[in-house]
This record gives sequence, structure tokens and C-alpha cells, in this order.
Amino acid sequence: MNIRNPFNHSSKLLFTLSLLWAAVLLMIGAWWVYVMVNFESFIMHSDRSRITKMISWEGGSFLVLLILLSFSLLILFMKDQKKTKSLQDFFASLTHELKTPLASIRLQGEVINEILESKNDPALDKLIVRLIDDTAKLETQMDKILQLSRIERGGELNLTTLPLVPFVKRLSKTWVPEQEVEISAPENNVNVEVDEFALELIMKNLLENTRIHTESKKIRIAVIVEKSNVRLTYIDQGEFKGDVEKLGTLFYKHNSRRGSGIGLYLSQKLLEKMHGSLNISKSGSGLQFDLLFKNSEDMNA
Amino acid sequence: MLNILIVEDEENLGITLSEYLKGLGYGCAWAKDARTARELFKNEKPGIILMDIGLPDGNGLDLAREFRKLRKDFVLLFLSALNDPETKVEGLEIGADDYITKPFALKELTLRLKRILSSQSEISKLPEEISHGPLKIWFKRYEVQDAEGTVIGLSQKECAILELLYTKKNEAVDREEIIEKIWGEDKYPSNRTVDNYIVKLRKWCESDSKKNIEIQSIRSIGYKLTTL
Repeated sequence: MNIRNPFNHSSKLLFTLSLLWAAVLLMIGAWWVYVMVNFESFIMHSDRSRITKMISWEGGSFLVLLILLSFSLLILFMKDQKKTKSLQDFFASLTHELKTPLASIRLQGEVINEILESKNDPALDKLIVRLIDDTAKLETQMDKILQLSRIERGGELNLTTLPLVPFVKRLSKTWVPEQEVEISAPENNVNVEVDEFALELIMKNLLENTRIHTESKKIRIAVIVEKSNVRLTYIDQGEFKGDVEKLGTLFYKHNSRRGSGIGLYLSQKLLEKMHGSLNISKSGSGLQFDLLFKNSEDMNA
Repeated sequence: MLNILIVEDEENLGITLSEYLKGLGYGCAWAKDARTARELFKNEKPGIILMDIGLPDGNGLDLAREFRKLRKDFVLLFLSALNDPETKVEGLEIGADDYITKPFALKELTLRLKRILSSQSEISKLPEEISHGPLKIWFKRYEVQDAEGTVIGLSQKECAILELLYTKKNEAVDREEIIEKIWGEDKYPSNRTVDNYIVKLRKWCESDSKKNIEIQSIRSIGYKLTTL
């Protein structure tokens, strides 16, 4: 079966034509510069009607080529936009299609896990825990792609009031049980206006980054209530030798083959949608992430 | 009455979930398309429906709307891979009590089902119709009637909160107790979320000026339901 890429053929032709038009324009332009520089001798050696004819023909051709070039560039730009959108849609639908079989794998893994609990087989126990862990990681990666695609297409979030501290504690406990997570927070309830799923994705990404990219076994999290905001400071206590300014750029991966390079970019976008922000700075040898959230009115209620 | 109806087109997921829930002792049936779901809904009268959205012969949202028109006395939970807020809001507006996204944690789902079934079992012990002056409660139908005679539908959580307050009438019920019993330990509704549910229930009982049923706020603790 002959599978055709709908974008490839016509785009190549248009690109070749654009190059040709640009080359002709450049030659006409160069010729005109030459004529201007030698205008005096040109006038003397040519008759008036010939010069008028030349200017009108060359000027007309220049204008037509310029218009054609502009149009072809516009078409190329629109095609590029369409291609980007189609790719985004493709990844979003593919990811979505993969979620149901993934749900089935996870469900069967969890059922096997329950059956194994009564069998007392440490080797199988380990394998099934790894299987469930890996499906959870795959799920997070898929969620990142889906969320990125939604946000880039202007999708909105569903903001609700959420008690921040128990939420972060639960995530740390389930997502990085091997890490020592030190959380300092006010004694009262700290409620923030967030999309629960988006916040889960942001926190999972930070915890996962610490686990993958650092040797650190200790994470410090501080929750501070400011006037109308709540600041969550996350310090990974790892070692970072790259350029902090580049962190959060789409597809940027510092000195690493792992990861997709979309996590921090997506986190920034999600926090902006939640009327907050993400600031990344150096803290000792590691990194500090300051997440700013909108304080919910019913704080301390 | 059937406990749970699973409407899910993915065969492995549907079978595994159905067999697992049967293993836990629940009456459970699985429909892999809208047509089978309609038949099982009509014949088996399930108490809980786990509904997928993308079905081979229809849309789970439309099917849920159709079921809601026929009966109110079941709990609807969406189980879908679609994770956009628009679909979630649409699902909840149909009267779903939760929108669970795939892949889901089995323990979380079974705890949720256990909580709903236990609330349904508590409700079944109460009389079919409870009247206090012009105010009426039909817990099994998830409906109440206000002082003007208007019948108002309740969600599973609203009904469960009302049942909790009603069975502990004249006692102060702690907000934490409401959260733990209705939402469970792993969920994080804020105090404001609980208050929002109470606001709707209070609006219903305040339609009766004689205060035959009253929900009072107990400062720093929670709520107390009193009857005349």
C-alpha cells in the first residue's frame, strides 16, 4: 500500500518555486543596484523609450514575483500551522486511545497484585509492583502530552478549592516513598484555587525530576501564606550545573537523555492558567522551584 | 436488584472489572454497548452505573441522560479516558456523582463503590417517605420536596450528607466526619465544598418558614439537623 504524506509533495514544490522566485528577485535587485550606480553612463548610451520599456517590464516582473513570493510564503506558513495542529491532534488522539488499554493493564496488574498478596511469593510481588509502577509512569507521560496539547489549543482548567498540604503529603508519600520529604507549613488549613488534576501533574513532575535527575534522597517543601497568594517552595537538594534560565523552555533537556522536555514548560503554562506562576532558581548546588498559587478566600475557615 | 452495571466497550477492562467486583460479592453485570446497557438497565435495575463515554453504538453522556429520565434512584459514575474539564462538567451536570478518569486505581474505585453501597444500605433502612410538615424526603429516590410542593433531585453526595445529618438529628456532626464518611480519606474536599452542599440542603429546608427541619451551623465544629 502506498502511504502518502499529504504535506510533503506540494510543500516541496512550493518551497522550490519560492527559492526560484527569491533568486530571480535577487538578480533583478542586483541589476537595479548596478543601473543606479552607473545611471549617468546608462542614460547617455541608451535611448529614453528603451529605458522606460525596461523599467516598466522589470518593475512589473519584480512586483509580480514579489506578490507570488509573499503568497507562497503565506501558504507555506499556513501549511506549517496545519501540520503542527494535525500532529498535536494525532498525538492527543493516540494518547487518548492508549489510555483505555493502559487502564486495562493497570487493572489486571492490580487484580494480580491482590491475588499474590495471599500467595507469599516475593519475586512475583516485586515484578507486579514494578509493572504497576511503570503503568503509573506511562500514565503521567500521556497526561503531560494530552494536557500540553489542550493548553496549546487554548483549553481551560477547572479551578476548585483544594487543601494544599494534605494533597502534597499524599502525593509525596505515594509517588516518591523512598525519598525523605520534609514539609513545613502553617498549622491552619491552606486552601488554594487550583485544578486538582493539573496540580497533581505539576507535583508529580517535580518529584519525578528529583528522582530521575538527582542523587538526593531529601526534598524540602515549604508552604508560606502571603497576602493573596500561597507560595510553595520546593528544594530538590541535588546538583545542577546547567543554565537555570533555559529550564522551562519547551523540549529543553539539560545533560540528559531521559524525559520528554515538556514537564516544566507545561507546569509553567498550567500555573499561569491557575493565576499563579513558576519561578526556578539555584539553591545551593541544587534547584529551587517557587510555585505561586491564588489563595482561596475560605482559608482558615 | 443488581448492585453495579458496568458499561464499557473495552472487553478486557469490562470483563476484569466485572469479575473482580463479583469476586468481592457484588451483584455485577457488564454491557459492552449501549443496546445491552439499555436492556440490563430496564431488566436488572442497577443501583450503581459505571459508564464509559465512548461506546461503539452511542455516547455514554446521552445514554446517562436517557437513564436519568427513566429513573432517579441510581448512582452514576463516569469512567472515561476523556479528561477535559468540559466533558467532566457535562457529566456532572447530568447528575453523575463522580467522574473517574482512566487509568484508575482499583482500590480507590472499590472504596468509592463500598462507600456508596453502604450509604444505599443505610438509606434502605429508612422509611420510603419521610414527612416533616410540608417538607418530604425520599432517600431511595434521591429526591426531596420543598414547602411549595416542588420536587428537587439530590445528588448521591447531597443525599448521603442529608442521611448522615438526619440519622444523627439533634447531634452536632463534625465537618471532618462528613468528609471522611462521604468522600473518604484520599479525597480532599475543602470546608467550602462541604458548605456548598449544605447551602443547597439548607435552601430546601428554609423554604418552610415554620422550620420543621433546620440545619444549623455549629461554630468551629460543623452542622446539626433539628426537627420540630
